Amino acid sequence: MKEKEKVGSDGKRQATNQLNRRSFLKATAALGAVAGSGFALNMATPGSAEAAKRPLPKKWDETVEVLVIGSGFAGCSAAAQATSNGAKNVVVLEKMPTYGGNSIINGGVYASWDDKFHYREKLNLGNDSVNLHAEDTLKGGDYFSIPALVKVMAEGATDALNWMIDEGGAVIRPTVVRAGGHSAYRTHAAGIGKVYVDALKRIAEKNGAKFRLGTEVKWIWRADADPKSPVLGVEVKQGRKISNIKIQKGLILASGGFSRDIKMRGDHYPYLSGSDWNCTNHKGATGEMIRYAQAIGADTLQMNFIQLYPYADPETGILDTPALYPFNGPGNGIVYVTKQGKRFISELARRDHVSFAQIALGPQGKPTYTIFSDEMIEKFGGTREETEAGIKKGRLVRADSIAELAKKIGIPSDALVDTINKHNQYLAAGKDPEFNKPITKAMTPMTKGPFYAVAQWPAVHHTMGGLRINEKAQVIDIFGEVIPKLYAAGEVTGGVHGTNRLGSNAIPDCVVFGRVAGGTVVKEKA
Amino acid sequence: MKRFRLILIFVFLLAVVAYMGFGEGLIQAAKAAGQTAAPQQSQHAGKIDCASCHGKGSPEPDSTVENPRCLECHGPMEELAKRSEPADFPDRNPHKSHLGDIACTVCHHEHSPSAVYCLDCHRNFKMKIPGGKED
Repeated sequence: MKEKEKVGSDGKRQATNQLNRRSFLKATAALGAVAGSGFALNMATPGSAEAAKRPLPKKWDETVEVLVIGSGFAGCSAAAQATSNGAKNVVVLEKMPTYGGNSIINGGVYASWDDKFHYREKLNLGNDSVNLHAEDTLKGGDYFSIPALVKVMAEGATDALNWMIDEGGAVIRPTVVRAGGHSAYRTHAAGIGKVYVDALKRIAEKNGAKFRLGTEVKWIWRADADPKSPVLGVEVKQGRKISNIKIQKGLILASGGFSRDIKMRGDHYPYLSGSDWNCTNHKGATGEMIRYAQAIGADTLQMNFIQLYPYADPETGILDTPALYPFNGPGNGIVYVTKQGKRFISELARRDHVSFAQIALGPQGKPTYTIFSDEMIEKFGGTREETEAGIKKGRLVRADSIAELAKKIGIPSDALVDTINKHNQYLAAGKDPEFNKPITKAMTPMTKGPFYAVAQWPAVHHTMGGLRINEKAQVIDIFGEVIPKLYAAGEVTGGVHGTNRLGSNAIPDCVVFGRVAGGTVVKEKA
Repeated sequence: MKRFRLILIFVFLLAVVAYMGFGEGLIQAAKAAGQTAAPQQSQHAGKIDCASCHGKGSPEPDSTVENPRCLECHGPMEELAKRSEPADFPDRNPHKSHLGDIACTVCHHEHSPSAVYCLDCHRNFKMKIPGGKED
């Protein structure tokens, strides 16, 4: 009977709209129990008195075994795995009119200690292991990552890569590079993330998964916050039509990050508020799915850790092919310089360190440049076709000598020649006395032209925080309990990357956790 | 019983005819007012009718037009892509882009102004659709 009294008193407070989250969840839980689960758990719609009474759909327009939200790496991977494991009725919803989310415009770099071709070993690029990958990831995120999640990613990365190659027909380039924050040559290149998206989508569609574009989730239905209360379905909008989809086995949120959600970005990291910052992401990278999940009790973490990509096109902020080279090239000897022709950081530094070293130069310091030579292009996963296209578009500048290159990009020739000569000497000596960069044998001195320059500047790129999940990709509520039948994978989640995601860890994160979610969800009872 | 079934079918057919007539009536009324039911805003305007894209009967609300329909006149895709290949930057071809197979209707709209989707990210591209937003 105590339960009923609670309902009465809390019900009143509900109307006065002065509830904190915890008491609200309890109140709604109790209300649901008494009213026979007729009401939906609901906190976020404006006008919360009515919102609390928003009824669950009386009838469902459709029933789906597994519903996946988002068609990027994580969503396609989840759909591919769920269907591979026997799920028959898997639907992927994509709110944008095109598939692939931000993944399809991602740079295609994939960290994995090994691959089926064993490129690192074949190219004599040193040692690596799952543990080293995990350690680098933890260190690169200042130990804010949840170690158990990092372990899942590092352990699953190689198998997931080989799966996309073998089952999905993904083609990777015959090299591995060493990128900022990584202590080994483990970053695989494919040119663009579309290679993996298409591979995963191919597997999913071959197994019968259905993709629906232009279909936006507007609400997640859950009766109450009881730990045994599962997610029931979602409300979706397609054109002007609203409908309700019932979920049998589970809902997998794979809706990506919120770099383009200016409000959410600024709410958690005021430094990045406003629309003045450039952003590498597609327009759909907004945080509404995080909000909807929070509204049914999901916990979030580390929402304030938002990454700037240090090498975006300074004009538009996009991460085009030339913008990938500064990230891919450090292990092969590329050099970053200021407009004055001076180095300003170790080229093997983490993305956050490189970004803030640039920002510290002040607005007058924009842009900085990456300098590389022709010999390095294939080694760091580039192609001649790409460089020719980059030159034609004016994104890459080429010259036969360093002095001439400096003139072409308008920086002092003497300074740039001196910087490159010194760097060549550091490579020969195996020591970088200026910035303490770890020197390796794979780094090529810039003695033979032609030489190239590409301009770069930070742009908002990746949101490390998001929904709290466990090692099974199950979403955890604010009390620490699993929300039954709710899963999340990829950038919508938090806790894998800590303060700073190491470049090329995003795809393994998305694909591995997508597989985990897809594999676990089919074991649920319908 | 048989007669009853016949009556049912008759009533149903009557309803269908009435409904169709109603739809037609709407279109006629709109035409009288100098517009179609859903005004055309592309270069198709005045040249092709509803059925050319939507087939017979009035389209459902929010119904879209699939690529094969567009390509009956504008295709095949490979040739369309060849025609739209920019001379200066061949890889900035909206009909053969890095977004893969996408719906024509992502950019080309009939009942609202067309808009080049590429420009959402590539702000500095010079691209436009005849009769579209940027034209």
